[in-house]
Amino acid sequence: MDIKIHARMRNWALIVCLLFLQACASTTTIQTARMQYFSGQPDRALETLNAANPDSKNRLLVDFDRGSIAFAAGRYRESSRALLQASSTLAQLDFISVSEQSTALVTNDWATSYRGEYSERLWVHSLQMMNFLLLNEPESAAVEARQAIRLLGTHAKALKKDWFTRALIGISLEEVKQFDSAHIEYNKLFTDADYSEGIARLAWNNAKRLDRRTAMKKIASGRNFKPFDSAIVVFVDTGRIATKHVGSIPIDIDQFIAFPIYPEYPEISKAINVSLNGKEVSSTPITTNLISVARSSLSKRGNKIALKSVVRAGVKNAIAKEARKEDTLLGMFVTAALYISELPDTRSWETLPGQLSMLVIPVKPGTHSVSVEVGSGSSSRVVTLDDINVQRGQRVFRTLNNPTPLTPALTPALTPALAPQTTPVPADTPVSAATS
Amino acid sequence: MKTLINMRTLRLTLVALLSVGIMGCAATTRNIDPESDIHYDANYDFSDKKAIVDDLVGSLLTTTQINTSAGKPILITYGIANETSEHINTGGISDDIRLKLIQANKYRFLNREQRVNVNAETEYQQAGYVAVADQIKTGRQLGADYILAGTLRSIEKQQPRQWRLKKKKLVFYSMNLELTNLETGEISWADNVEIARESSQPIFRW
Repeated sequence: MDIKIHARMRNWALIVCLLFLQACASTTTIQTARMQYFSGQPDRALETLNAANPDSKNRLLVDFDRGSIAFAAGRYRESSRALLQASSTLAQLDFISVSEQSTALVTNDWATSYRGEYSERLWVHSLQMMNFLLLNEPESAAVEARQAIRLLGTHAKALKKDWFTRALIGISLEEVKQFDSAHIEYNKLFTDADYSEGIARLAWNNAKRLDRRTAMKKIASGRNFKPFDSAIVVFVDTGRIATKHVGSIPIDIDQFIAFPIYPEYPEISKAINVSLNGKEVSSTPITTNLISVARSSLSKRGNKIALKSVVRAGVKNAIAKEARKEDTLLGMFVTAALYISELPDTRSWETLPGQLSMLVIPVKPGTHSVSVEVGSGSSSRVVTLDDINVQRGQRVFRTLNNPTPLTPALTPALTPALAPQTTPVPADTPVSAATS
Repeated sequence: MKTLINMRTLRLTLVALLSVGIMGCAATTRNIDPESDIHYDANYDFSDKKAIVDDLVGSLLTTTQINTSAGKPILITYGIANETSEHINTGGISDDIRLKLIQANKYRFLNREQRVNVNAETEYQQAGYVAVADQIKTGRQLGADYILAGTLRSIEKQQPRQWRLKKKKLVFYSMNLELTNLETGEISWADNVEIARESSQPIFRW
């Protein structure tokens, strides 16, 4: 009898340990690369990621990080390749894996392949549009714009406030002379964004090109816009996106359900001032707070996550009960293992900036110098882009990657239910002014 | 005895599962007929490119809208714009159309992509490195009669989100090609090819 109990106990222990180990698949390489990037070594981070052989569950995170780190390092071709790979991985993951979901029911969601939040899927296209515009490949940027439109249509509520990406879609379509399509996108954006100045100017200029007088009048709403043909467009990314934290609700003395959350942060928008050829110019940036969009995207999945957590709690409870029936000691062991394994899936694309801004600076044809000051007071940083040659009717794209220190400027306003994950505090930021 | 049978069944099941797993993981390679119509999903693939090229070349070779009485018309290609939501190298379509038209010997083509190289080579020859008798003569390049250009568009529809076991996707491709007379600016010939395809993918997999 004793032997029978021990054999069963061994089997139970083995199953629980195997499931637990599978659920805790190593993400060490990704963490190492992220640490290297945050400490100002993007090239080393890329080497680490390129040498990585991630399991299929974390493949997408590696592609995401390679894409954003290469972009920040000004390696746009490499970034676009990594993000094309990410798109392909996402397409391959577009199904429900019965085996993964079954494992996740007795462990946690770390046992499933990471599929990216809706917002992260959209930012693949945002980075790609920037990559292709900087590489002077507008047709490919427009392809990404169309894919982004489709995603925005499917998850409109969650992604609505990504003003930057939505304006970038309009610009990408304008670059391939699809002014009508751009007009449609600007119109939707302009209404959603509450008649914001920067967006209005873009929308008005495109409407003027199409000679849509009623639309021009509506967009201007009494403001005086001047048409422009040539412009310098600067993409500015600042700060760092927040990481997902652990949230939990106890449902019994020995059971709780856990879920990922983005803690509430006060929204801090970095001030951006622009000088053109030494003279300050008014250029209202079109900005997206990525943390806010990420939070809205995660909360859109909230019901699904909650339902799954409740079902998992039920399954775990049944397993623990069954084990307790077999043997008290075994029951305790299984309950403890199942309790420990209740970890929410806090995986996310952590190498994204916290804020993406776009400056559209109308210029006359010729050579120009643009200075961009990000932040204010002692924490401000000025980056100057010299010798930008603009032809008639041309838009020249430039990017400023993380021109302010990466030290977390955001402080959580609420403490999450469980201890938050510690995030690496980056030293200083690489300042790079990259060109197309 | 009961335990023994169970163990045997368990072992057999494990062996069967392992065999299926190993067979499933085996890598295979085979040649396929480029003429065959193979689609793994609804997206654009080489079979579509072939269908597009064959249709449009056939149309261009049989058209009576282009005057060929004064000799073979000289064309220059200005590429095919990709207005789909896929990263498609449309250069492959224009190259294949050009190749088939050259092989059919009914049209002549100018090489726009090599113009910079042609100029560089001409300048080199004229710079005195090449004997005068062997130098190519300038001012003898051909002038194009028509511009060959087109657009590839797509419309994609996905089944609305609802309870179902399969996910359906419908893609419609439309490829438009036209010849523009350089002298008059008139579109002298135009045709298009349409491809519509539906694919379905299981929502649940092992």
